[in-house]
Amino acid sequence: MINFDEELKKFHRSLEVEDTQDAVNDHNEPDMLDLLFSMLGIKFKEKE
Amino acid sequence: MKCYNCGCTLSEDDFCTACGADTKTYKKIVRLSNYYYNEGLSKARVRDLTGAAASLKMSLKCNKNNIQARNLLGLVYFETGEIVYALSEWIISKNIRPKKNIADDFISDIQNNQAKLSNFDTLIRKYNQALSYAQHDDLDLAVIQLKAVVAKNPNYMRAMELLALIYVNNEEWNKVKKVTERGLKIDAGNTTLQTYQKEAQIRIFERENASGRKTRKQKEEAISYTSGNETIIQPLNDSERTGGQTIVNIIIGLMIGAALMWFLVLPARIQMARNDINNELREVSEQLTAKTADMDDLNKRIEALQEENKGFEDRIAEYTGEDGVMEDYNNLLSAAESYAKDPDDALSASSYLEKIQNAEGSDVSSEFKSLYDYLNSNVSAKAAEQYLSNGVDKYNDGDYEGAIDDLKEAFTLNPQSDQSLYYLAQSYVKSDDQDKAIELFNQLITSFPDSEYKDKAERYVSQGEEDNEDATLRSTDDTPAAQDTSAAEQAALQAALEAAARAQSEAAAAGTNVEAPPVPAGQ
Repeated sequence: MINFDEELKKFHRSLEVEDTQDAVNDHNEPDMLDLLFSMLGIKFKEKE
Repeated sequence: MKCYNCGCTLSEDDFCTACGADTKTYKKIVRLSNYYYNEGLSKARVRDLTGAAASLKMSLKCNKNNIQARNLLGLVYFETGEIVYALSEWIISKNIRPKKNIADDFISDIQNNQAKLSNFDTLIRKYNQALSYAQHDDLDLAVIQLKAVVAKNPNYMRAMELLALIYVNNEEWNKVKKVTERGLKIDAGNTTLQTYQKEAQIRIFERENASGRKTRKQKEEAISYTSGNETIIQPLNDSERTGGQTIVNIIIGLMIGAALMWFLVLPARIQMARNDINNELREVSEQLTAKTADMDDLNKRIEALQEENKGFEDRIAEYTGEDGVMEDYNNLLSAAESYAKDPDDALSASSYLEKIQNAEGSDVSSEFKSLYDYLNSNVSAKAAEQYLSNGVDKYNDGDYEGAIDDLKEAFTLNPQSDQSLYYLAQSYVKSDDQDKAIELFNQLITSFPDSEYKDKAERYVSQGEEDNEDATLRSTDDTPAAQDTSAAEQAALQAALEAAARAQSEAAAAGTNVEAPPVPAGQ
């Protein structure tokens, strides 16, 4: 049996177009390579 | 794959052949990222967009510089209606690799179509509004908003999920089924929609189960048996048909056919005929209305023209009627002619002058006025004298009625003549009209206090004493004496006559310029 109120809590306000910049700025989480390099104490130098 | 330390291309070994750096873990992480990307791509190809997004996010958690994974994630977001997330992924991708990046095209496509972008933004706002309605238990308003959003962007999964949830809450299971089916066609791996759909299926099944027990029971009672590969079900209560029954069935069929004709086809035909008649009636009615309108216009024009014509006729009458300007001109000319022929015959000229009605009006010319004034000043005094003389003669002869007429004229022409007034009153005395006589005597007493006739008048009024003497004319009357027309006056009269004739012809021309019907010559 689906609980409406509980299900409704899963829905969140959608970002509007003017919030795009905020969404871009929030993407600065480190990835696994960042963790690896920080552990090794080196800098990434991959060439394009 | 490049070495993270020196940037050289790595070999199959677990270290960099150029700088000797250990690349084992690095290679594993990069391969893991690529693996998740491939998994995401596979899921996206079978429209498991939710699963694809999860795999691609994992890929980016391993290697956030995986451009392909990021671009694909943006594309998945775009397909599910998450425009802002899609744009942000592509923008980050472009920042990582500014050149030779397909994200550039995606961003350009959206940015170059501002109307589309604005439309997306509107839909997002509507979704947020609907969510707010739902959170405040305004579910009807939320449904209206969400329906509009889904109609304009059927890929907007968030809106689809919320709409399905509200339908679940309202226990509108068929609608839940319909919405979830539509949503799962776009995103087959959407677990939220799958959950709602499963719930709806269970509920619909339960409902159908409850209502379908009786039907099934009846079906179970039917006799069925298997013959070879075929299952034969014997119909319940199906008796064998006879020839008579067939004829009855045919007759019933014919009757049903006739009834159908009567109840369905015939009314349709009648309705069509009625529609045709109504259309014709409408057309005729419209034509009639148009004609009536035309006739009204024409009648109004006729009335306007008649009024205009009447105005013109009135104007012509002003010129040519008995009281018209033309008649006045004629009378003035006749008076002038009479005066010119015999200046001593003032009565004749005066009779013409008396007929002039509009001597002071604006319709007459200045020449008319000057001639009229000239004649009036010369003729009136003489005419008054002549009337007085005639009146006195008639009084003495006992013709009091004639005397009254003449003396009235004399007093009218010269209101300063107490003599005229006195003998007029005397004539009334002799005619036994005492009241009128007393009225005139009183007028004389009041208006001429220095008159020689005042005492006689007072005696009559107070004592009734009549004056039985014959009337005599005073040698020196107040009225101006008759004057001979000098040569200069004759010349002036001649000039005035010419001017009056000219004015008359101008007036006649003005009368004919108004397109009036021709005036008879005698008028």
